[in-house]
Amino acid sequence: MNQVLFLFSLYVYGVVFGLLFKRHLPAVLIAITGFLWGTLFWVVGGMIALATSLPYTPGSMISYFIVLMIGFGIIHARNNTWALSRREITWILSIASTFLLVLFLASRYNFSAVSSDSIIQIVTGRRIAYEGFSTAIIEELSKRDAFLSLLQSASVFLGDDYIYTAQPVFAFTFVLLFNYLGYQIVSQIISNKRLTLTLTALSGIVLFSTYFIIYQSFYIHNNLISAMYLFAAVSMFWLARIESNDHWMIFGMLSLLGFSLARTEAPIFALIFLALVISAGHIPYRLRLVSMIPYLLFLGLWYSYLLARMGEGTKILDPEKTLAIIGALIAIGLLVLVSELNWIKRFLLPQLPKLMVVILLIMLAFLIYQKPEHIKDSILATLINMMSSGRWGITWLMFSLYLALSLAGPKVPWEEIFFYGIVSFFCLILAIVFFRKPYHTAWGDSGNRMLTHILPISILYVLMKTVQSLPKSTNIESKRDSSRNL
Amino acid sequence: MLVQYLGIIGFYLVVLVLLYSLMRKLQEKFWLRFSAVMFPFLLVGHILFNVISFPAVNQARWRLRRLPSNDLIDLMDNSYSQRRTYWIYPLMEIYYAGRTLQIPENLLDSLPLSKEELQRKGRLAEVVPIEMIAELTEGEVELILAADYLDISIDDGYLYHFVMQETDLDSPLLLRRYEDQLFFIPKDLLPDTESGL
Repeated sequence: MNQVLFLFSLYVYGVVFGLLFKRHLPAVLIAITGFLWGTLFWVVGGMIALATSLPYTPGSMISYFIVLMIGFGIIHARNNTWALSRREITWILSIASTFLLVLFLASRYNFSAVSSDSIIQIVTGRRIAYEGFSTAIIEELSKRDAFLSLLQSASVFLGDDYIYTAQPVFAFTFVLLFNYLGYQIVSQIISNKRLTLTLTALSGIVLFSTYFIIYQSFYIHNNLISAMYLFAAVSMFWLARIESNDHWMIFGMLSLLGFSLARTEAPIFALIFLALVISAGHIPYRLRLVSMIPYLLFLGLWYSYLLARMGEGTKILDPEKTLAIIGALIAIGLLVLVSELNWIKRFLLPQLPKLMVVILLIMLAFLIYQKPEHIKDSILATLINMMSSGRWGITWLMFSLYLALSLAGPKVPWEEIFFYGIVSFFCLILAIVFFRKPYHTAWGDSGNRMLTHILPISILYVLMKTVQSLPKSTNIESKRDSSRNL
Repeated sequence: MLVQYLGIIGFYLVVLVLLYSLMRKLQEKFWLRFSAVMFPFLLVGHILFNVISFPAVNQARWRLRRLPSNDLIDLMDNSYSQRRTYWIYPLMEIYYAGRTLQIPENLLDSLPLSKEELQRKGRLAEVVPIEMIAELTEGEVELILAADYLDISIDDGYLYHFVMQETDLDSPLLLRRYEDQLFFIPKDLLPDTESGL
């Protein structure tokens, strides 16, 4: 029961935070994403406390949340964002009570599944609660990053052996998020609400009925969490541009932070998407600075902290790779800073997506040249996992076909973030294997698990491409044309 | 490795070529028909496939099933991954944190567990080597197993028992062996002590 109350408190906390933006973002979205922000604030708060040698105890964490809550309360009072309409209250209460019900069911019916990796993350979490960021813990975090372990560390405070309700609740949040954001995005392309709802729901059911996704809803690991944060980030970036609503950017950047803290190599993938957002050039310069620089700074500080403490490091993250990640963060930071310069805006940013993919492909070709067998085995293993041994059923088989078809399909607004994002993601999955043992044919292979991160985005992309050409659809361009005519 | 998948790849490529040819022939009509008719039907078919194939896939080695309790030991026990010796340390921390563990000297050398890790990761107050004690007898094991205990089999070849019956928390913990089984027992629960079992 402690666990239910703890996770529900995080959810409520996330909703209170989200409501700060209720004038600009839908209340339903705020109610759905509460758990994303609540857990992220727990993890970030824990990381700051532990890295700065502040006490990491139930008392200190409660104090941290009280201080933040007071801050939110003051902003709410000043902006009068407490005042909710009856409709908003109904939505928030319905989603919150369903969330509570799912939490309760997850605590009653424990279907958790683990591998050795999961046990290490659970154990690391428990040790964090006692030892803080000791040298041994830093070594573990260099392999698997902080998100899941810090969440699991709460089990010691709660008197439980491990956190078993979080994974199903993340999955539940993801179901709501995929359907909600999918609906929002598709309704930007076509105006038929019933059709939008049907196609989004069908795509959502395909995703969440795929065996490996169901399995990961109970499998204590970071891939489903990463997938959810990345999906949220990319969808929100797209909506920020299409709706010209800058507030999506704030939620998008928080989601990207969640994604980046879930796995050690995640910042590299995240920076690709961030570069695509910068290249679009639609976000006002000030917002770019306010939203992106704190994200880059936080990650830069975290990786610098790891670098200072890791010693020789591990196979997954050693000082050289950490420096490379810090270098990439600095490079993107510089790009953000100079992105308002005229020649950068005119010449570099429009070509950046193509340039990135070309660089990635050249890098991949070089890596293949260096270790041909290694990369070939990894490519084959990834393909075989997608087709049969990865527990994906026919999902990748079908969606890779749709993706191949979509290349020739009608263009959707700001397609670049999806197209270049997906292509770069696959290139990077193959590139990072150069620095570790080759991928192998098994569902537990990290390359196969990482496919989880890109599948929801791929499904959404296919859905967008498909609805773009629906008969009698009113797409954005025609909406704009008609408004111009008016 | 690739040869056995050549059929699927070939079929996949044929379908792709056919669809591209259709796309070329029908041009705009292709996308209208694909989006309005084919795609929703394909999605429904896909969902049916996922639902129907679920029981077959879930019968594999790594399947989802309800755990008997929310204890870490049950989670570990229901895992099909390799069971590592280091799994014992968090269990020691959960069941015996703060207690003193006594390990007979004759057990120390053959023990797969590290004395230092037991103290550090198991969060024990102290790990103390004590003079040699003979292995448990079958009768003693029967008596011990009459108490509340949890056990887990680890790939190092040992079956570890954690005896949990309420005891005096100041009473030290003793590690004893019987064949390929290791027992962590509060000392006052041992059959030959005053309180006995």
